[in-house]
Amino acid sequence: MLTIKTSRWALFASCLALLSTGCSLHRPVLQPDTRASIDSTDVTLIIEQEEIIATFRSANSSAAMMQFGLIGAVIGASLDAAGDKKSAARAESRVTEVRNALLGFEFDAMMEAALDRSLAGSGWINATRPALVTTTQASDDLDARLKAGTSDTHLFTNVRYLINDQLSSVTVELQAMLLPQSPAFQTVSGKQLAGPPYAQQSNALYGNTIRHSAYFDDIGFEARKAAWVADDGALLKTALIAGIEEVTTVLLADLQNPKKDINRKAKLQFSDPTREIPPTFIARELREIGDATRVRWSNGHLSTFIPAHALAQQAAAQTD
Amino acid sequence: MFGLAACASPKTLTDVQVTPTQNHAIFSENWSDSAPAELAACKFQLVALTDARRNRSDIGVHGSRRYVLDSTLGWVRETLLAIPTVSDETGRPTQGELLRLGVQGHSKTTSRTITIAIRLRIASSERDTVLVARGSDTSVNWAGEAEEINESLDRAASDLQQQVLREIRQLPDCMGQSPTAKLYDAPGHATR
Repeated sequence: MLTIKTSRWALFASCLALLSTGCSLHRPVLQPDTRASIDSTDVTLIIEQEEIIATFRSANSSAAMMQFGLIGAVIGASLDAAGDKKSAARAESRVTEVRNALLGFEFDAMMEAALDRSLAGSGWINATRPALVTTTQASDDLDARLKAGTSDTHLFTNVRYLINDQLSSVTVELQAMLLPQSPAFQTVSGKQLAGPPYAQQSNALYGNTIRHSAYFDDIGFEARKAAWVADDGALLKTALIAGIEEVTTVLLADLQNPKKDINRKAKLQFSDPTREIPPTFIARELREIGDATRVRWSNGHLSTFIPAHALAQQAAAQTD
Repeated sequence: MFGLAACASPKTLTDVQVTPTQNHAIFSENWSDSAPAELAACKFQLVALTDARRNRSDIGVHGSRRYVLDSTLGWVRETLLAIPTVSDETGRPTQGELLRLGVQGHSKTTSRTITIAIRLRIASSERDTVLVARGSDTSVNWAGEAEEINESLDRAASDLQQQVLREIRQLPDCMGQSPTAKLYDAPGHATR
């Protein structure tokens, strides 16, 4: 009984925590005068995962059950927990062969090299070689890195790579946050790090989330699985390498784009091809790049979508 | 995950020591029913188990808790040696590698999965066979206590044993054909 009581209160506390979480809506963009003042940048690359993450759609009966008050919320949360456990177990089971195909694939090293290469080509950010961190970082850990650094600014990047439980899309996701670091640059930039946590969006000079997804939308589950894992996961690896190149390239371009999201007024309809039943979203910018489509959403986030077949053809052409 | 996306990232991480069970003799009845252990080709001597994990300081983080398992290799070794056909004394020399032992929380949910992945290289006079086995357990994070993780580790260990057993039974010179043994051919070694 004690366990059940504890669990209910833990779930209730989680509900409250989610409801009370307040997040800044405005994404910081780097202004040209601030950018011109940067003489040096420390770079931290965080990759917490050891293997590709399996994603799935989580259950969501809590919202509906909230109308029945506290008891409803607790029951809803319990139902969600049970549903999510089942979905998670199924997703984990489905990606076993995908994970086995990626054994020996050095995602971390490739990401580190690509980020270093991209930033080195900027001509202005003067970045140190990325410090690769493979353990989970709490905000105190990030603050300690910020306090220990000596460069003008500090670029934190957090990278994940994912495959959905339908095995229809492989995604590389990069979150970036550029913070003023040295006391002198805090003054120059007008962003004083007053109190912890320092590493948060309200203190950032720049922040964004950048994704690249390779997807199938025309073949069934078993065919998709076979396509990803064939030839020791050749297509999987191609998709991840393409994602690594894309997110690091787009990061540098976006760091140099001072336009605020609020000033992007276009309303362009775009259907997300990585969803089973593609929902249509409003995009602010759409750009066709070969077989790929790069989308900027209303919150400034950037997503690139490319059909997996096109990636396979590109890889074959390079081999020939 | 830092503050840009996850606005409520934990301020600090609290270490939680976990101590799963050391006794894993779980499926001996099933094994004796099929009795391939009588075949010499189905006996394996675990001569070494090395740690190939990227992060060895902990076994993962869920929420604000970082789970720590001392003597990880020793625990996995005990898990493997509890399989009836595996011993540290006789059988085909087998090298083990611990590829992964980790707690993975699932984003936006209260569930988490513990995965244990190992690679076994089974020596023979002509060619080595390399296979990979994974055991896992998915559970709900009720209170995040060590006891929950201990129980989940035990179930994952049990699943790992079943998967190793399944792979062993499918080896061509034991009972059949392993579907994954072909996939992990190290340079200079052909698989069967």
